[in-house]
Amino acid sequence: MLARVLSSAVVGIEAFLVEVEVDVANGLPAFTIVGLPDAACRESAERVRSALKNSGFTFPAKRVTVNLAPADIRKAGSAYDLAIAIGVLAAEEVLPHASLEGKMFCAELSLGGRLRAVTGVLPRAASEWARDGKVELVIPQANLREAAFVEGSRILPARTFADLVRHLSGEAEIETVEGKGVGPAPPRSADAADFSEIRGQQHAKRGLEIAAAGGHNVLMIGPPGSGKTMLAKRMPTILSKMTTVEALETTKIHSVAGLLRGRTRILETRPFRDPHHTISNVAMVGGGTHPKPGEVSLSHHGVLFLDELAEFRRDVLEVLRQPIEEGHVSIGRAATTLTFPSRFMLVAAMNPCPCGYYTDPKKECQCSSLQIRSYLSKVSGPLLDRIDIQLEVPRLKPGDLFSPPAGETSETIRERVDRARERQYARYGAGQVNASLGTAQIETACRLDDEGLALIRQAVDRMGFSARAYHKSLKVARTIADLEGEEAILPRHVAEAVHYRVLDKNSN
Amino acid sequence: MRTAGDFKAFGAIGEELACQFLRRRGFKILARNYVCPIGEIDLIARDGQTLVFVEVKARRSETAGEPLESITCHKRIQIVRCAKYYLTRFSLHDRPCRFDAVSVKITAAGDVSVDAVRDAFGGGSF
Repeated sequence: MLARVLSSAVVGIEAFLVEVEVDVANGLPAFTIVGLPDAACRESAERVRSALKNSGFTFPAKRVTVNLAPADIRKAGSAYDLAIAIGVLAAEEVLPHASLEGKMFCAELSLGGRLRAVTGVLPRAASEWARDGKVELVIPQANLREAAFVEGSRILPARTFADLVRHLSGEAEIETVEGKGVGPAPPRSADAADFSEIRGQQHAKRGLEIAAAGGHNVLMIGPPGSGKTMLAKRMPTILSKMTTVEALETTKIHSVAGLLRGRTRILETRPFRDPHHTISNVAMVGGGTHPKPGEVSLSHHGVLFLDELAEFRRDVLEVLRQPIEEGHVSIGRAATTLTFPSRFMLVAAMNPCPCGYYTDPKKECQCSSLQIRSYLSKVSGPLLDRIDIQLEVPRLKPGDLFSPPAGETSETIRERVDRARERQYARYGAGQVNASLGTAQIETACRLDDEGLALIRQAVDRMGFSARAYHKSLKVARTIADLEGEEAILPRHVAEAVHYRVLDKNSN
Repeated sequence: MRTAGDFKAFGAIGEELACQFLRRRGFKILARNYVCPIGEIDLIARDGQTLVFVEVKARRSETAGEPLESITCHKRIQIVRCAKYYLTRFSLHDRPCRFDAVSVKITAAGDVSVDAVRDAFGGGSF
């Protein structure tokens, strides 16, 4: 007897339909799984055998063949357990075939017959065949919240295999849950970090505001204790909210990476990832035999904060180039080539030299000029070139330190950022910011008047800007104008944009 | 000193006891000591519609462990291959099949205990 059951595979962050065919025939008893299964998937045979037995069913002493179609997509992981077990029962005619129609089964089975949570439920729920409730998702109770983020999805959450079989055979019903969508965001908690806590550093705050408004990459350079990390950590508080599309996209990536377990809500605030500087390049851009997203993708639509930039391994910094420039990473492996989105904002911080006090007026630097040079050279030209805004964050003046913190709150700054973003969305379309402009768009969006042109020409001559640095300056100038609500880019915007490239000057 | 003949005779006693035990359970014995070019199957029986290939293990003492423990992976592969030969030889491929194991323990005092394990192993991908 042959049974067909629907399940799905997640490749990258996209879900594909997988048809699980189960054939139970006479002959030497055997349990074979074909259709490009990986090790975890092949082991499913043993889990299914025990789960069936411990749920009160007998596993047939017959030749059981399972085919996972289409056979050319690699099936990884344990999410097919449930579909296989259901298929065995249907092939044995314990379950009516009609009860399986219009349902998609995704869960791992425990030996005792419990349904265990799987990764990647959100992409499955958001896929085109599940989105409008065309297919009912049968998933573990533990994954219910994640699937319910997708409005209009129909979900059948089950705790145990036995419960599910009772439901399918019409003995005891499990209630179908309708996806509620994202819902209103909870208010920000009052004790969250805020920009008003930072004393002084007006220049850096301004730089970060521009970065937040235009999605620009930032590098902060300053002595230890000047507040670089503190500033960066408050970055998420001044970023505009993600649109629902952006939020779902980012949450999908986190779902695939298995980071959503126990989360009650979709990712609402933009992600802020701060990997330690010992990170490997696979952890950074993603990888593995069956590629998983790395930090650059986990911070999609959010902030990737690299503290102590010069301490990162050089190859790790170099692999950042493609994701920064293209907004996605392509990971090629023997089995597959996958693309993960990675439109993040890079916020980096570093000291000017190994001891940290090179630019400090008070404390003497202990480093030799060779040491300083080799330290700075770790951050290569090509990487530096991709950073739009370079900020010097000097040591605090004693006056600033003892004065009460009277800066603007994150709320006020965010309102300005929001307005600037709205202008950009109106100009280029939703979700598009100045930092992601292509060359052709720069020509039209960043037109300068004569005075502005003269200014930037001078900067290119004197500071030795590369072509990319020139374009970056134009984009930053565009953002500054947007923050002020100006449609035209004025010379003062250009002047400010140019001076955010201090390092280009130093290195020449 | 036990001779090779002793072992053979003891094996035959074990098989006879296993046969009796299975017959009492309603099995029909089709063949004993089925020998093919690949190896040997102790008993081939019929349980209702199901063909059952039986491996019998008999032990006189427990010094060498439980009888069924000595059915190694290698032995299982050999039995499965023999079973395949048998199925091909008599064109029985669409019959339901099963592999059982029977342990026979005989103590020095002459007490006999026979135990059968139903569906002891699968036909796997050997």
